[in-house]
Amino acid sequence: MVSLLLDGLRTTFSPGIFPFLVIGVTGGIVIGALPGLTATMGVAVLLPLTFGMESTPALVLLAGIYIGAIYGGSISAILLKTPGTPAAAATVLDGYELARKGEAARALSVSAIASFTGGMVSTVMLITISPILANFALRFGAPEYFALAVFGLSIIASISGKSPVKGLLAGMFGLLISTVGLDPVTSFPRFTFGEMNLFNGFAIIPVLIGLFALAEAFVQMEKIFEPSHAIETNFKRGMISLKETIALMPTMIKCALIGTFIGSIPGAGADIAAFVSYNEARRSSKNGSEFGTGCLEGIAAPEAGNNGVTGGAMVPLLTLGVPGDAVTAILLGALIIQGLQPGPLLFTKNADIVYGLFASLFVGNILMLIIGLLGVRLFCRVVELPKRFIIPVIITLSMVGAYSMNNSIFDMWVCVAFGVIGYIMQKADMPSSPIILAVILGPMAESNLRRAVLMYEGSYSFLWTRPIGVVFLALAALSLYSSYRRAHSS
Amino acid sequence: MKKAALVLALASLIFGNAAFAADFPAKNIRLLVPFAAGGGTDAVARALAASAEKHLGQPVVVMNKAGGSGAVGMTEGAMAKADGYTVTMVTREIAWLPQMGLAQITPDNFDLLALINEDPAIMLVRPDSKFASVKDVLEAAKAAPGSVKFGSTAKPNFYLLALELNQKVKFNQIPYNGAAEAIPALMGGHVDFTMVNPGEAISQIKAGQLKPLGVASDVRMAGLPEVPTMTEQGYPIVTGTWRGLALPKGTPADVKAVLADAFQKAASEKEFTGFMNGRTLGIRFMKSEEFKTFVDNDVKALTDIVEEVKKQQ
Amino acid sequence: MKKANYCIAAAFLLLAAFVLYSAANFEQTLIQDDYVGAAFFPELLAWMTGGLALFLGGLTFRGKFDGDGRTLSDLFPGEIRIALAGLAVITLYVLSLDYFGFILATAALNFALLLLFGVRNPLSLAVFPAAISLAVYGVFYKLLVVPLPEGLFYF
Repeated sequence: MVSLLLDGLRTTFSPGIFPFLVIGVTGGIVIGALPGLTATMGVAVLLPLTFGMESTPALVLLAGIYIGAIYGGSISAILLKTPGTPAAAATVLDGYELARKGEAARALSVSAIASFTGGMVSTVMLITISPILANFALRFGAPEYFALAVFGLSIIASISGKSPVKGLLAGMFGLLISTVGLDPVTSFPRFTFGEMNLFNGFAIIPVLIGLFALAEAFVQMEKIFEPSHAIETNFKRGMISLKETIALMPTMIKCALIGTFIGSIPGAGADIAAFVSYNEARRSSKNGSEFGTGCLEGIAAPEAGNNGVTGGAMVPLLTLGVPGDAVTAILLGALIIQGLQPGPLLFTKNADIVYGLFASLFVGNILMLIIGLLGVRLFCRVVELPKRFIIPVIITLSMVGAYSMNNSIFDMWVCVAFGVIGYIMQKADMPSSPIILAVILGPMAESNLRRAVLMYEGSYSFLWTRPIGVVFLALAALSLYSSYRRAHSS
Repeated sequence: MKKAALVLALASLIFGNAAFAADFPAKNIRLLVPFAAGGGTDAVARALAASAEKHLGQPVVVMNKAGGSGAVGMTEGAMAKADGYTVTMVTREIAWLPQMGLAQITPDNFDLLALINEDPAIMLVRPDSKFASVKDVLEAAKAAPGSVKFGSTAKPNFYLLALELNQKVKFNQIPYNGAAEAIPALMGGHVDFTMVNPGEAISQIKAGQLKPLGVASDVRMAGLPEVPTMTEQGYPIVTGTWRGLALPKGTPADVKAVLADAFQKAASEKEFTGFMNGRTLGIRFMKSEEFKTFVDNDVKALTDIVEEVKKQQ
Repeated sequence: MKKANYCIAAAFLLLAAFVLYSAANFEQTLIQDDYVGAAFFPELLAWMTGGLALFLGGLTFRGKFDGDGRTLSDLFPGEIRIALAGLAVITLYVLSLDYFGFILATAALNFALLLLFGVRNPLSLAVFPAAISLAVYGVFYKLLVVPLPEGLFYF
C-alpha cells in the first residue's frame, strides 16, 4: 500500500497532473467563497471539460474543486456573515463574531488549519478503513436516518443563543418551511398556493443567503451614517499561534472523524457534519458558554467536520459505487465516463488511479492550507473597505447567488423575503441558524419517518428495535440535556 | 450596400433575431434542463450541448431549472419566446404530470424537435436475495399482497404501476428520492427489489453487488446481453424512460430546421455516443414527426394507467 | 422587548392556526399512504409551534424578559428608512432584471445603493457600478457559465 501511495505521489507531482490540482483547489476556493455557488455546482459545471481528459487529471481536478469549495465557504462566512455554501452555515456562529472583534485573521487561519486537518484525517480514514465504514453505512435504513435527523435537530437547542424558546420557535419555523412543496410520499402539493416554483419547496441556498447576507446588509444599512466604531478600525493582523493550534488539535481530529463518518453515510453531507461537529465540540468543551461569542473552537469544529466529509463521501463512492453526497454523485459520473467501474473491483483493476486520487487528496489539502494561510492578509482587506462600497457588492453577490443555483428569478424573491424575515428576527433576538438546520434536516426526518412506518407496515417498533437508531436517539436526548444544563448553570 | 447592412443590423437589434433566420443562431442557445445539475438528464444535456456547439457555431449553454419532477423547467421552456434560442430537454414526466394535476402544460404546448435517448427499466435484487427471477418476485407478491418491499425512485412510479396493473399484484412501495437513494437502500437490504434505468446501477451490476432479474424491453440490451427480458420470462412488460428536445410552440420552421439538423449531427458525434455508451445510456434518435407520434402513444398509455389507478381507489 | 415578544408569539400562533387549517384540507392523491399521511408532520409541528408561542407569551408576561428594557422604537430606529429604501431598490432591481438584462440592471442597482449610502463622488458613482456589474458578469456568465438573465440587448 505504501509503495502504491508513493507511486501516487509521484503521479500527483508530475507536470501533467499537478497544475490541474492547483487550478482545481484555487478555483474551488473561489467557487466556495462566492455565495450561491456550491461545491456541487462547481463540479457539475466543470465535468464536461474533463470528458476529453485522461482519467487521473480529470479526477484530480474535480477532487481539488470539491475540497477547495468546502473550505472556501468559510471565508465569506467569517468575513461577511454570508456562508458561501450551506456547509459553512455553522462557521458563521463564531467565525463572524470573532471577525467583528477585529480578529478576522485569527478566524481565517483557524478555518484554514481546521479544514486542512479535517481533509487529512478523512483521507487517512478513506485509505485505511473504507471497507469497514462502507459496510456500516449500508446498515443505515430509513429508521436510522430518521434517528440521525432527530439527533441533528436536537442541536437547535445548542445554537439558540440567548433565548432557547426563541431558538426553538425559529427551528419550528424552519421545519414548517421544509414541509412546503410536494409531499415526499403522496406528491400532494402542500402549502404551495398553486405556485409551481414551490413544488420542490424552498431551495436552501436563497433561504440561507437571505437570512444571513441580506438580513445583515439591512442591519448595516441602518448604521451606514454612523461614525465607524473604534473596534472596527482596530484590526489585528496576527494569525493563531502554534500553541493555540496544538490546543485545538484534539477538537479538530474528533470533528474530522465525525465528518468522515457522516460523509460516508449516503445522503448526509458536509452541512449536517458541520452542525453535528459544532454541537459535539460545545458539549464536550470546558468553555461551552463561550461558543457563539467568537471562540476558536467554534470555528475549528465545523470546519474540521465539513472538510472531514470530503474523504468520507469518497468511501461509498469508491468501495460501493454509491455516492456519499451530491458532489460525489457527479464524481461517480466522471469515473464512469472515464471507463472506470467504481466498486471493489476498482482497487484491484485501477489501483494506480485510486492511489493517484488518494495522493492528490493529501497534496490538495496541503495546497489548500498554503493558499488559505497566504490568502488571510488579502481576504482581510475586504472588511477594511468602507461599508458604503461593501454592502452593494454583498447585495449584488447575494442576488446573483440566489439566482444561479436554479437560474430562477423566483429564488431571488425568496432570498429577498428571507432577507426581511432575517432582519426582523435579528431585531427580535431570534437566531437564524436553527432555520437553516431545520430546512436541511426537516425533509430527512419526515420522509424517513414515513418510509420507516411504511416498511414496518404501520408499526413504530423501529424506534426501539434498531440499535444504531437507538444510539442516535439517545445522543439526541444527551444533547438536549446538556443544552438544558448549560442554560440553567449560566 | 453598406448602409443596407447597417440598417439590417440595427433592425435585427431592435426587432430581435427571429425575423432573420438566415443568421440563426446569432447568439448563445440555452438548453433548458428541468432537473438539477449533476443528475442523469443534466449529464445527457451537457454532453449533447458540447457536441452541438460545433454544428451551431454558437455556444450552447445548459440552464438547469429543477422542481416538481421537471414541471417547473418544462413549463418555462414551453412559455419561452419562440425564437429558437431556448431549447428544452423534455423527459417522460411531461407525459404524466398533467394527468396528475401537477403541471398545466402538456406535450402539445411544445414543438417537439427530436428524441435523443430511451432506456428500459431493469429489475434488481441483492445477490443473496431469495428471488432468483421476475417470477419469484411476482409469486411472492401474489401470495402475500403488499409484503414485498419495492424501493421506488419516483412518485408515482410508472415502472411499478405497469408491473402491478399488468400482473394484478400489489407491492409495498417505499418512496426514495431517485436512484441515488434507492440503490443503497437495496444494497443494505432495507427493500427487497427496485427498478431503475440500467445506467443508474451499472457499477453495482458489473461488480456483482446487485443482480439484474429482467429488462422491461422487447429485446435484450446490448450492454447487458446476459440479462433476459421480462417478456422472455412470460411477463410482457415494456416500460422505461426517454429524453428528447423540444421548442416552444410557434417556432419558425426555418429556425427549427437549423436546430433539428445540428442536434441530429450532434447525436451521432463520436464524443456523444462514446459518452452515452460509457454510462450505459441508450441512444434512440427520432425526428420531429416520429417523436410526436411516439409521445402521443406514451401519453395515451400513461393516461390509461392513471385512469386504472383512479378506478381502484 | 416585551411588546416585540408578544408580536412574535401572536405571529407564530397565527402561523400554527393557518397550518392546521390548510392541513385539514389536504387531499388524497394517486399514491396512498395509509399510515402517516401528508398532514401528520405539518400538524404535529403546528401544535408544537402553538405551544411554544404560548410559552413565550407566558414567560414574557411573567417578566422573564423585563431585564431587556428596549422598546419597539429602540429596535426599529428612524434609520430604518434607509433599510426600507434599500429594500425598495432591491425589489425594483429584481422586477427589472428580465427587461433590462443583467448588466444594466445590476449597474443601476449599485448606482442607486451608492447614492442611498451618501456617495456623491462622480467618479465613484460612474466607475464602481460598471466595474461590479461587469466583473460579476464575467465571473458568473463567462467563467462559470451561469446563464444570467438577458434583457433587451442580449446581455
